[in-house]
Amino acid sequence: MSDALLEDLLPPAQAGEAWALRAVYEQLAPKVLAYLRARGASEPEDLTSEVFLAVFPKLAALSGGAAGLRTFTFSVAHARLVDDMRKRGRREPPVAYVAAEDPRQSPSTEDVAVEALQSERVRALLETLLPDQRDVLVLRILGDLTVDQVAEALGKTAGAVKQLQRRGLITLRRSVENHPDGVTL
Amino acid sequence: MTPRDDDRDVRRPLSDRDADAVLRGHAVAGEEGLTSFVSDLQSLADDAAPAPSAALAAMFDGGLVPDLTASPTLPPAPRRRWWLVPIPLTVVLVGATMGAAGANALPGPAQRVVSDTVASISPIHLPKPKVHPAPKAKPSPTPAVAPGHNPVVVHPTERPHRVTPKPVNPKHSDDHGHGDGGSNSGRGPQASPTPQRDNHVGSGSGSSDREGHGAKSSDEG
Repeated sequence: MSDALLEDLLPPAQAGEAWALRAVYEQLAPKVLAYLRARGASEPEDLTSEVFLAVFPKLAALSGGAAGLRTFTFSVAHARLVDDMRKRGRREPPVAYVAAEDPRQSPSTEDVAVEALQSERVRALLETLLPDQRDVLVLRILGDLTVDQVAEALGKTAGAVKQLQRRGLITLRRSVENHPDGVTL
Repeated sequence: MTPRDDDRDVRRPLSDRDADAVLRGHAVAGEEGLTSFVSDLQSLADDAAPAPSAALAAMFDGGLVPDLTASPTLPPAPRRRWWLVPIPLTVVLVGATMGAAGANALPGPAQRVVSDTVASISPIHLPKPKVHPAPKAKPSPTPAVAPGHNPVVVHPTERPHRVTPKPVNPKHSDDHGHGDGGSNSGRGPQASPTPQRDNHVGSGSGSSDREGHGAKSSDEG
Protein backbone atom coordinates (compact mmCIF):
# COMPACT_ATOMS: atom_id res chain seq x y z
CA MET A 1 0.00 0.00 0.00
CA SER A 2 1.48 3.28 -1.02
CA ASP A 3 0.96 6.07 1.45
CA ALA A 4 2.22 8.56 -1.16
CA LEU A 5 -0.58 7.56 -3.51
CA LEU A 6 -3.13 7.77 -0.71
CA GLU A 7 -1.81 11.20 0.24
CA ASP A 8 -2.43 12.35 -3.33
CA LEU A 9 -5.89 10.84 -3.42
CA LEU A 10 -7.04 12.17 -0.10
CA PRO A 11 -7.78 15.85 -0.94
CA PRO A 12 -10.05 15.09 -3.94
CA ALA A 13 -11.66 12.26 -1.99
CA GLN A 14 -12.33 14.65 0.87
CA ALA A 15 -13.95 16.98 -1.66
CA GLY A 16 -16.28 14.12 -2.63
CA GLU A 17 -14.85 13.46 -6.09
CA ALA A 18 -16.26 10.17 -7.31
CA TRP A 19 -13.09 9.01 -9.09
CA ALA A 20 -10.97 9.67 -5.97
CA LEU A 21 -13.37 7.77 -3.74
CA ARG A 22 -13.20 4.81 -6.06
CA ALA A 23 -9.38 5.00 -6.15
CA VAL A 24 -9.18 5.10 -2.34
CA TYR A 25 -11.49 2.11 -2.21
CA GLU A 26 -9.32 0.16 -4.65
CA GLN A 27 -6.26 0.95 -2.56
CA LEU A 28 -7.64 0.02 0.82
CA ALA A 29 -10.43 -2.49 0.20
CA PRO A 30 -8.20 -5.54 -0.48
CA LYS A 31 -6.49 -5.05 2.87
CA VAL A 32 -9.76 -4.56 4.68
CA LEU A 33 -11.23 -7.63 3.00
CA ALA A 34 -8.17 -9.72 3.94
CA TYR A 35 -8.44 -8.50 7.54
CA LEU A 36 -12.13 -9.39 7.75
CA ARG A 37 -11.50 -12.80 6.16
CA ALA A 38 -8.56 -13.57 8.43
CA ARG A 39 -10.71 -12.68 11.43
CA GLY A 40 -13.56 -14.92 10.29
CA ALA A 41 -16.27 -12.43 9.25
CA SER A 42 -19.38 -14.13 7.94
CA GLU A 43 -19.83 -11.95 4.83
CA PRO A 44 -16.49 -10.22 4.36
CA GLU A 45 -17.29 -8.68 0.95
CA ASP A 46 -20.55 -7.10 2.18
CA LEU A 47 -18.85 -5.96 5.36
CA THR A 48 -16.06 -4.33 3.34
CA SER A 49 -18.63 -2.21 1.47
CA GLU A 50 -20.28 -1.29 4.76
CA VAL A 51 -16.95 -0.13 6.15
CA PHE A 52 -16.37 2.29 3.28
CA LEU A 53 -19.97 3.49 3.35
CA ALA A 54 -19.26 4.53 6.93
CA VAL A 55 -15.81 5.98 6.21
CA PHE A 56 -16.45 8.10 3.11
CA PRO A 57 -19.05 10.50 4.55
CA LYS A 58 -16.57 11.39 7.30
CA LEU A 59 -13.56 11.88 5.04
CA ALA A 60 -14.01 15.64 4.80
CA ALA A 61 -13.28 16.18 8.49
CA LEU A 62 -10.51 13.60 8.67
CA SER A 63 -7.04 14.68 9.72
CA GLY A 64 -3.74 12.85 9.84
CA GLY A 65 -3.26 12.24 6.16
CA ALA A 66 -2.92 8.75 4.74
CA ALA A 67 -1.95 7.24 8.08
CA GLY A 68 -5.02 8.78 9.70
CA LEU A 69 -7.20 7.40 6.91
CA ARG A 70 -5.80 3.88 7.34
CA THR A 71 -6.18 3.99 11.11
CA PHE A 72 -9.75 5.24 10.87
CA THR A 73 -10.69 2.72 8.17
CA PHE A 74 -9.38 -0.25 10.15
CA SER A 75 -10.94 0.97 13.38
CA VAL A 76 -14.30 1.05 11.59
CA ALA A 77 -13.57 -2.40 10.13
CA HIS A 78 -12.77 -3.74 13.59
CA ALA A 79 -15.96 -2.26 15.06
CA ARG A 80 -18.06 -3.77 12.24
CA LEU A 81 -16.36 -7.11 12.75
CA VAL A 82 -17.15 -7.07 16.46
CA ASP A 83 -20.79 -6.21 15.66
CA ASP A 84 -20.90 -9.03 13.12
CA MET A 85 -19.59 -11.52 15.65
CA ARG A 86 -22.00 -10.34 18.32
CA LYS A 87 -24.89 -10.70 15.91
CA ARG A 88 -23.91 -14.27 15.32
CA GLY A 89 -23.64 -14.80 19.03
CA ARG A 90 -20.13 -16.08 19.10
CA ARG A 91 -16.82 -14.42 19.54
CA GLU A 92 -14.60 -16.53 17.33
CA PRO A 93 -16.48 -18.39 14.63
CA PRO A 94 -14.45 -21.01 12.84
CA VAL A 95 -14.94 -20.51 9.13
CA ALA A 96 -14.17 -23.51 7.02
CA TYR A 97 -12.37 -22.58 3.86
CA VAL A 98 -13.96 -23.88 0.66
CA ALA A 99 -11.76 -23.16 -2.36
CA ALA A 100 -14.62 -23.53 -4.81
CA GLU A 101 -16.53 -20.73 -3.04
CA ASP A 102 -13.57 -18.39 -2.94
CA PRO A 103 -14.33 -15.47 -5.28
CA ARG A 104 -10.62 -14.81 -5.70
CA GLN A 105 -10.23 -17.73 -8.11
CA SER A 106 -7.65 -17.34 -10.81
CA PRO A 107 -7.79 -19.11 -14.14
CA SER A 108 -4.99 -21.44 -13.16
CA THR A 109 -6.02 -24.48 -11.15
CA GLU A 110 -2.53 -24.71 -9.77
CA ASP A 111 -2.67 -21.12 -8.54
CA VAL A 112 -6.01 -21.78 -6.87
CA ALA A 113 -4.61 -24.81 -5.11
CA VAL A 114 -1.50 -22.98 -3.90
CA GLU A 115 -3.51 -20.01 -2.75
CA ALA A 116 -6.00 -22.20 -0.95
CA LEU A 117 -3.18 -24.03 0.78
CA GLN A 118 -1.55 -20.78 1.85
CA SER A 119 -4.81 -19.34 3.05
CA GLU A 120 -5.66 -22.48 5.00
CA ARG A 121 -2.24 -22.56 6.64
CA VAL A 122 -2.42 -18.90 7.59
CA ARG A 123 -5.90 -19.28 8.99
CA ALA A 124 -4.90 -22.37 10.97
CA LEU A 125 -1.90 -20.57 12.45
CA LEU A 126 -4.07 -17.58 13.38
CA GLU A 127 -6.47 -19.91 15.15
CA THR A 128 -3.70 -20.81 17.61
CA LEU A 129 -3.70 -17.22 18.89
CA LEU A 130 -5.92 -15.52 21.40
CA PRO A 131 -8.47 -13.15 19.81
CA ASP A 132 -6.69 -10.01 21.02
CA GLN A 133 -3.33 -11.28 19.79
CA ARG A 134 -4.91 -12.07 16.42
CA ASP A 135 -6.39 -8.57 16.17
CA VAL A 136 -3.07 -6.92 16.88
CA LEU A 137 -0.98 -9.03 14.50
CA VAL A 138 -3.45 -8.89 11.62
CA LEU A 139 -3.86 -5.13 11.93
CA ARG A 140 -0.13 -4.63 12.08
CA ILE A 141 0.56 -6.87 9.07
CA LEU A 142 -2.44 -6.26 6.82
CA GLY A 143 -3.36 -2.77 7.93
CA ASP A 144 0.29 -1.73 8.03
CA LEU A 145 -0.50 0.13 11.23
CA THR A 146 2.05 1.13 13.85
CA VAL A 147 1.73 0.07 17.50
CA ASP A 148 0.15 3.42 18.38
CA GLN A 149 -2.29 3.24 15.49
CA VAL A 150 -3.33 -0.30 16.45
CA ALA A 151 -3.80 0.89 20.02
CA GLU A 152 -6.04 3.69 18.76
CA ALA A 153 -8.04 1.36 16.52
CA LEU A 154 -8.59 -1.23 19.26
CA GLY A 155 -9.02 1.16 22.16
CA LYS A 156 -6.03 -0.23 24.04
CA THR A 157 -2.80 1.22 25.35
CA ALA A 158 0.38 1.02 23.31
CA GLY A 159 1.95 -1.06 26.07
CA ALA A 160 -0.87 -3.59 25.95
CA VAL A 161 -0.57 -3.80 22.17
CA LYS A 162 3.19 -4.42 22.41
CA GLN A 163 2.64 -7.16 24.94
CA LEU A 164 -0.07 -8.82 22.84
CA GLN A 165 2.13 -8.56 19.77
CA ARG A 166 5.14 -10.14 21.47
CA ARG A 167 3.18 -12.99 23.00
CA GLY A 168 1.33 -13.60 19.74
CA LEU A 169 4.55 -13.82 17.78
CA ILE A 170 6.09 -16.20 20.32
CA THR A 171 3.01 -18.42 20.12
CA LEU A 172 3.16 -18.32 16.32
CA ARG A 173 6.86 -19.17 16.32
CA ARG A 174 6.20 -22.17 18.52
CA SER A 175 3.32 -23.32 16.30
CA VAL A 176 5.41 -22.97 13.13
CA GLU A 177 8.34 -24.87 14.64
CA ASN A 178 6.15 -27.63 16.03
CA HIS A 179 4.25 -27.97 12.75
CA PRO A 180 6.57 -26.94 9.92
CA ASP A 181 4.11 -28.16 7.29
CA GLY A 182 1.27 -26.18 8.74
CA VAL A 183 -1.13 -26.46 11.65
CA THR A 184 -4.29 -28.45 11.26
CA LEU A 185 -7.30 -27.57 13.30
CA MET B 1 2.27 -25.43 25.81
CA THR B 2 4.73 -27.55 27.71
CA PRO B 3 7.44 -26.57 30.18
CA ARG B 4 9.91 -27.44 27.45
CA ASP B 5 8.25 -24.88 25.17
CA ASP B 6 8.45 -22.27 27.91
CA ASP B 7 12.15 -22.97 28.41
CA ARG B 8 12.74 -22.60 24.72
CA ASP B 9 10.85 -19.28 24.62
CA VAL B 10 12.86 -17.96 27.56
CA ARG B 11 16.09 -18.90 25.82
CA ARG B 12 14.94 -17.18 22.62
CA PRO B 13 13.28 -13.95 23.64
CA LEU B 14 11.85 -11.78 20.89
CA SER B 15 13.00 -8.19 21.04
CA ASP B 16 10.71 -5.34 20.06
CA ARG B 17 13.07 -4.51 17.23
CA ASP B 18 12.96 -8.04 15.79
CA ALA B 19 9.21 -8.18 16.25
CA ASP B 20 8.82 -4.93 14.36
CA ALA B 21 11.04 -6.12 11.53
CA VAL B 22 9.18 -9.43 11.23
CA LEU B 23 5.81 -7.68 11.15
CA ARG B 24 7.02 -5.43 8.33
CA GLY B 25 7.97 -8.49 6.32
CA HIS B 26 11.73 -8.10 6.71
CA ALA B 27 13.95 -11.15 7.07
CA VAL B 28 15.25 -11.70 10.59
CA ALA B 29 17.91 -14.33 11.29
CA GLY B 30 16.47 -17.30 13.14
CA GLU B 31 12.87 -16.22 12.53
CA GLU B 32 12.30 -17.76 9.12
CA GLY B 33 9.08 -19.42 10.23
CA LEU B 34 7.57 -16.13 11.35
CA THR B 35 8.76 -14.35 8.22
CA SER B 36 7.11 -16.99 6.08
CA PHE B 37 3.84 -16.62 8.00
CA VAL B 38 3.84 -12.84 7.56
CA SER B 39 4.54 -13.20 3.86
CA ASP B 40 1.64 -15.66 3.47
CA LEU B 41 -0.70 -13.37 5.37
CA GLN B 42 0.28 -10.37 3.27
CA SER B 43 -0.36 -12.35 0.10
CA LEU B 44 -4.03 -12.68 1.10
CA ALA B 45 -4.38 -8.97 0.37
CA ASP B 46 -2.81 -9.09 -3.07
CA ASP B 47 -6.10 -9.47 -4.89
CA ALA B 48 -8.18 -6.76 -6.45
CA ALA B 49 -10.79 -4.95 -4.43
CA PRO B 50 -14.13 -6.76 -4.15
CA ALA B 51 -17.10 -5.49 -6.14
CA PRO B 52 -18.73 -2.64 -4.22
CA SER B 53 -22.28 -2.90 -2.96
CA ALA B 54 -25.06 -1.05 -4.81
CA ALA B 55 -24.96 1.87 -2.37
CA LEU B 56 -21.20 2.19 -2.65
CA ALA B 57 -21.32 1.89 -6.44
CA ALA B 58 -23.83 4.75 -6.50
CA MET B 59 -21.38 6.83 -4.47
CA PHE B 60 -18.63 6.04 -6.98
CA ASP B 61 -20.89 7.18 -9.82
CA GLY B 62 -22.28 10.35 -8.34
CA GLY B 63 -19.61 11.40 -5.90
CA LEU B 64 -20.33 12.68 -2.44
CA VAL B 65 -21.27 16.06 -1.06
CA PRO B 66 -18.62 16.64 1.57
CA ASP B 67 -20.02 16.98 5.05
CA LEU B 68 -17.62 18.99 7.12
CA THR B 69 -19.73 18.54 10.20
CA ALA B 70 -19.32 14.78 10.22
CA SER B 71 -16.62 14.07 12.74
CA PRO B 72 -14.44 11.06 12.04
CA THR B 73 -14.63 9.94 15.59
CA LEU B 74 -13.47 6.47 16.20
CA PRO B 75 -16.19 4.05 17.17
CA PRO B 76 -16.30 3.37 20.89
CA ALA B 77 -13.80 0.79 21.85
CA PRO B 78 -15.40 -2.48 22.90
CA ARG B 79 -13.90 -2.31 26.32
CA ARG B 80 -15.76 -2.99 29.53
CA ARG B 81 -14.66 -1.57 32.82
CA TRP B 82 -16.02 -4.10 35.26
CA TRP B 83 -14.14 -2.53 38.12
CA LEU B 84 -16.43 0.51 37.88
CA VAL B 85 -19.54 -1.51 38.75
CA PRO B 86 -19.21 -1.43 42.60
CA ILE B 87 -18.64 2.34 42.69
CA PRO B 88 -22.30 3.47 42.41
CA LEU B 89 -23.29 0.87 45.01
CA THR B 90 -20.62 2.15 47.40
CA VAL B 91 -21.72 5.76 46.86
CA VAL B 92 -25.34 4.85 47.60
CA LEU B 93 -24.39 2.91 50.75
CA VAL B 94 -22.14 5.67 52.08
CA GLY B 95 -24.77 8.29 51.27
CA ALA B 96 -27.50 6.35 53.02
CA THR B 97 -25.34 5.78 56.08
CA MET B 98 -24.35 9.44 56.27
CA GLY B 99 -27.96 10.50 55.85
CA ALA B 100 -29.15 8.20 58.59
CA ALA B 101 -26.31 9.31 60.85
CA GLY B 102 -27.15 12.95 60.18
CA ALA B 103 -30.71 12.28 61.31
CA ASN B 104 -29.39 10.40 64.33
CA ALA B 105 -31.38 7.41 63.14
CA LEU B 106 -28.70 4.77 63.44
CA PRO B 107 -28.56 2.40 66.39
CA GLY B 108 -26.51 3.82 69.27
CA PRO B 109 -23.20 1.99 68.73
CA ALA B 110 -23.34 2.44 64.96
CA GLN B 111 -24.20 6.12 65.34
CA ARG B 112 -21.24 6.58 67.64
CA VAL B 113 -18.83 4.79 65.27
CA VAL B 114 -20.02 6.73 62.24
CA SER B 115 -19.98 10.03 64.11
CA ASP B 116 -16.46 9.45 65.42
CA THR B 117 -15.18 8.31 62.02
CA VAL B 118 -16.63 11.28 60.17
CA ALA B 119 -15.36 13.70 62.79
CA SER B 120 -11.86 12.24 62.53
CA ILE B 121 -11.58 12.55 58.74
CA SER B 122 -13.62 15.67 58.08
CA PRO B 123 -14.80 18.84 59.79
CA ILE B 124 -18.37 17.53 59.77
CA HIS B 125 -19.83 16.75 63.17
CA LEU B 126 -22.66 14.32 63.17
CA PRO B 127 -24.91 13.98 66.21
CA LYS B 128 -23.86 11.44 68.75
CA PRO B 129 -26.32 9.00 70.19
CA LYS B 130 -28.35 10.22 73.15
CA VAL B 131 -27.10 8.87 76.42
CA HIS B 132 -29.98 7.58 78.54
CA PRO B 133 -29.20 7.39 82.28
CA ALA B 134 -29.58 3.97 83.73
CA PRO B 135 -33.03 3.70 85.32
CA LYS B 136 -32.93 3.85 89.07
CA ALA B 137 -35.11 1.79 91.32
CA LYS B 138 -38.34 1.88 89.45
CA PRO B 139 -41.44 2.15 91.52
CA SER B 140 -43.71 -0.80 91.49
CA PRO B 141 -46.24 -0.61 88.67
CA THR B 142 -48.97 -1.81 90.93
CA PRO B 143 -50.55 0.55 93.40
CA ALA B 144 -49.86 0.00 97.01
CA VAL B 145 -53.14 -1.40 98.03
CA ALA B 146 -54.14 -4.30 100.07
CA PRO B 147 -54.00 -7.69 98.38
CA GLY B 148 -57.24 -8.65 96.79
CA HIS B 149 -58.41 -5.09 96.61
CA ASN B 150 -59.21 -3.93 93.14
CA PRO B 151 -58.28 -0.27 92.73
CA VAL B 152 -60.39 0.16 89.60
CA VAL B 153 -64.05 -0.18 89.99
CA VAL B 154 -66.00 -0.51 86.83
CA HIS B 155 -69.57 0.46 86.80
CA PRO B 156 -71.70 -2.63 86.40
CA THR B 157 -73.54 -1.15 83.42
CA GLU B 158 -70.35 -0.30 81.59
CA ARG B 159 -68.48 -2.57 79.27
CA PRO B 160 -65.03 -3.28 80.64
CA HIS B 161 -62.58 -0.93 78.96
CA ARG B 162 -59.07 -1.67 78.04
CA VAL B 163 -56.82 0.10 80.46
CA THR B 164 -53.29 1.22 79.84
CA PRO B 165 -50.84 1.98 82.61
CA LYS B 166 -49.88 5.63 82.72
CA PRO B 167 -47.74 7.30 85.32
CA VAL B 168 -49.42 9.99 87.26
CA ASN B 169 -47.50 13.19 87.55
CA PRO B 170 -48.25 14.71 90.90
CA LYS B 171 -47.66 18.21 89.56
CA HIS B 172 -50.37 17.78 86.97
CA SER B 173 -52.78 15.72 88.86
CA ASP B 174 -55.50 18.18 87.99
CA ASP B 175 -55.17 17.31 84.37
CA HIS B 176 -56.19 13.80 85.14
CA GLY B 177 -58.85 14.83 87.45
CA HIS B 178 -60.89 16.44 84.66
CA GLY B 179 -61.73 19.36 86.86
CA ASP B 180 -62.72 17.13 89.68
CA GLY B 181 -59.91 18.41 91.85
CA GLY B 182 -61.67 17.57 95.06
CA SER B 183 -61.84 13.92 94.25
CA ASN B 184 -58.06 13.57 94.04
CA SER B 185 -57.11 15.94 96.76
CA GLY B 186 -57.34 13.32 99.41
CA ARG B 187 -55.00 10.88 97.68
CA GLY B 188 -51.90 12.99 97.51
CA PRO B 189 -49.12 12.44 95.01
CA GLN B 190 -48.73 8.91 93.75
CA ALA B 191 -45.50 7.61 92.39
CA SER B 192 -46.95 4.48 90.98
CA PRO B 193 -48.71 4.48 87.65
CA THR B 194 -52.36 4.00 87.79
CA PRO B 195 -54.41 2.50 85.02
CA GLN B 196 -56.27 5.01 82.94
CA ARG B 197 -59.19 4.31 80.75
CA ASP B 198 -59.01 4.49 77.04
CA ASN B 199 -61.32 7.36 76.31
CA HIS B 200 -61.72 6.33 72.64
CA VAL B 201 -64.08 3.54 73.42
CA GLY B 202 -67.80 3.95 72.94
CA SER B 203 -69.91 7.07 72.65
CA GLY B 204 -70.07 9.37 75.57
CA SER B 205 -66.68 8.22 76.65
CA GLY B 206 -65.98 11.54 78.29
CA SER B 207 -68.73 11.05 80.77
CA SER B 208 -67.85 7.47 81.43
CA ASP B 209 -64.24 8.48 81.88
CA ARG B 210 -65.22 11.03 84.37
CA GLU B 211 -67.49 8.54 85.95
CA GLY B 212 -64.67 6.04 86.19
CA HIS B 213 -62.41 8.45 87.98
CA GLY B 214 -65.15 9.51 90.19
CA ALA B 215 -65.99 5.95 91.03
CA LYS B 216 -62.39 5.15 91.74
CA SER B 217 -62.00 8.19 93.90
CA SER B 218 -65.09 7.54 95.79
CA ASP B 219 -64.09 3.97 96.22
CA GLU B 220 -60.66 4.87 97.46
CA GLY B 221 -61.96 7.58 99.63
